[in-house]
Amino acid sequence: MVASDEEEERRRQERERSRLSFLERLYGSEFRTTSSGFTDGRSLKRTGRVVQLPLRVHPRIKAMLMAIIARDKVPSMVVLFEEMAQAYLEKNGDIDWAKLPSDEDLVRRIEHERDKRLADRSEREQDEPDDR
Amino acid sequence: MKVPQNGAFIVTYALQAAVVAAALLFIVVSATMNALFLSSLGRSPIEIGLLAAVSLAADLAKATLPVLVARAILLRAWGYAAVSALMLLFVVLQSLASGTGFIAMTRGAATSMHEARSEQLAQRRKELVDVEAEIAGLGAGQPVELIEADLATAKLDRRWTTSKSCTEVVSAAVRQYCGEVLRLYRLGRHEELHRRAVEERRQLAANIEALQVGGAERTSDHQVAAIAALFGVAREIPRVILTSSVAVTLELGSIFLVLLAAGPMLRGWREPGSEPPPEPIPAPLPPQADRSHWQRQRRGATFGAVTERIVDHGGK
Repeated sequence: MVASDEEEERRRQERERSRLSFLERLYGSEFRTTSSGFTDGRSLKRTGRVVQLPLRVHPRIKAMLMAIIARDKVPSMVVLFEEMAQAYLEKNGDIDWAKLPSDEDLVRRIEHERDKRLADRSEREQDEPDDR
Repeated sequence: MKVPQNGAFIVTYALQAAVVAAALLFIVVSATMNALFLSSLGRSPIEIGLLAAVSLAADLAKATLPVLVARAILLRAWGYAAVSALMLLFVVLQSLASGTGFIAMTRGAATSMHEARSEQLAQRRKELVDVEAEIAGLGAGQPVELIEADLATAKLDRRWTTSKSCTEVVSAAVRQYCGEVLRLYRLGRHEELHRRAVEERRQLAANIEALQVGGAERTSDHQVAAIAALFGVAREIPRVILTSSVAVTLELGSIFLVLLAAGPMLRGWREPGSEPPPEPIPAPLPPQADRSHWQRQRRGATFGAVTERIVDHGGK
């Protein structure tokens, strides 16, 4: 019975997500519509840059990057990184799209992980009042 | 690339392997033959080695130049193709000359040996006929032992002593006696000749039998004889054609087989049932408004000239 409910909930989620755009699914929330009926401008500012890329660099590299950003007025480190990736591809050849997971796979991966963590957190929250 | 189904896959690659193996065999045999023939022209070990090396190099060039010529033609590199084709022509002519020389040498040696044995057989038969005639002419006489016994008896006669072994004939009786002795001598000599001729006949018969067992009676070159009889031409014509055709097949076979084996690679042919690999599609960076805006500013584009579409791609 419980499994059936979970299955039903999963199907409902899939149906719900299928009508959402890529960015909405990526952020896990629909674009907000204001009382004036327009899409909220803050929602439209979504860039899709949701995945963290932690890295440590030599201080001189950091200094060079900062100098580049300052000299060329690059909007952000992320933009500079994307520019570097673009330049690398132009210099060393493109990556075949067939060798990358599709956007659908990527967003499913994120949604799956998000659902799992949400479920874990819900379980913990349910357990915590009993412990108290 | 998608691999063809099992049966087609096995047949296709077995055929390819067979063609490559045949080409390799042709090259190895041709190189060996040409090296043997050319090195036979050398007088010193250095000359022999150099000629053999030249022959091997020519055969290696002959195996690779067809592919280079075909590739140059496909690439429309006419100068390259002309030089390669010219070199190939020289190499093929040289190989053909060496191959023909070798085949002619070996075939000629085998044929001439056969012909020599046939001539030997014919000669022995002729000698046998002569000996038979000689024996028939001599006729059969008394056995030598009997004649020798008669002669020994005659020598016991006193006339043998008085005539000093029939060297001094002094009377009619002695003359008659000596005539009889000489007749016995003649009969002995006759029988000796008869016996020698019979022995010679026996030896000739044995010799002829040995030659017949050795195949001397057969035609020296069955293939040439059959083709000459079939077309009603002189034996020399099919002999020349056969000798040349073996050399031509051997020398040109490797060229055609190498081209056949390399054809799919040169022309980019696909095996039946296989699918070509899909053309790679470059994966672009996701469009970003801030990056596009910054790039426009750097290029000096006017503000608002291009409106960046808000990122909203639902997959590939």
